Amino acid sequence: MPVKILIIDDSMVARMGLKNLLKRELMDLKLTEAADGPEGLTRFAEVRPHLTFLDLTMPVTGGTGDLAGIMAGIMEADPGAMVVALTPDTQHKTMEWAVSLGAKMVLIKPPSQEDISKALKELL
Amino acid sequence: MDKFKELELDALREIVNMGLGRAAVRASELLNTYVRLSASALDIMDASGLSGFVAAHGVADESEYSVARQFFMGRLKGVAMTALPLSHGKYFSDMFVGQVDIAGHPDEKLLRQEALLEMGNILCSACVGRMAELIDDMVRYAPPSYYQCGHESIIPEHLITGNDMVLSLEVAFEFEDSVITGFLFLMLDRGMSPLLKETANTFINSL
Repeated sequence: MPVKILIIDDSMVARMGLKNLLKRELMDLKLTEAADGPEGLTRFAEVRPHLTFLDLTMPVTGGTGDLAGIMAGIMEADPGAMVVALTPDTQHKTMEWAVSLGAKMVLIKPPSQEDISKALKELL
Repeated sequence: MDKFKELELDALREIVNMGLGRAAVRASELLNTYVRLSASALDIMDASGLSGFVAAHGVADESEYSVARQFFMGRLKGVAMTALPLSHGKYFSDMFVGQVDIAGHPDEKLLRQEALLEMGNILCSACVGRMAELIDDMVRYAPPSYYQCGHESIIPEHLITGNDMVLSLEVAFEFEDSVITGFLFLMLDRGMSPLLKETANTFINSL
């Protein structure tokens, strides 16, 4: 049975990079992408991924939806959802914020192969 | 000007966001309050298009801006302008003023300006610095300068050569109870298009 992974990130480049890293780790993989929060919630409900990668730097203006709302939507759909938050912000408070929203792990962007390997081992 | 592909613009925004991620640490220290930074829009345009970008992304009814300007020199060479709507700039420097306890001080106005200059310096060096790292460039920065102006004068006319391109960013400052938005404009000679593309493609190829 393939591992289902959802990537929610408004950056095409970031999604591309993450897909490459994931494909090196998993042979049987079903990848779904979303370019904003609302699309991410729709895809989450459709796919019920084993693991979700969520970018924390998606715009808060411009109508892509607030991150707390997106996380709340994911947790409501599946309280046991495994979400890895991605952010280039290294502040401890940002990590705490992401965890308080429900993320099981926070990775600094761009994630390394080692980061992804660790996330998959710990969360799948 | 060489047109940038969507993927290249996207890569540049990711590069800038990575710079802003690092900048957030310094910004939080400057203001003594937690803040997250992100670029919510990026475009590359002629200097003449700036007004339109500000109008499209700016704060409604806000016509005056506080600007911190800083020249940078390396292979990447140009001028950075951090522009905050006047009302937002005041909110921002209030935090700095509050932190250093100089409200009512005779030099309060100067210190408010210093706060904005320092924030401009943080943003400029974080974003330009991140780009420079990708192409093994070393960039030096001139001391920043402050001015207030209307949105149509954020780039002073005497700096516009007609052969410029402006990398325009809307920057969101997310505090715990509010979000303020401003702009970072990086103006470079059009001849540097290949260098910006090199930066973008180096990043893409590294993924």
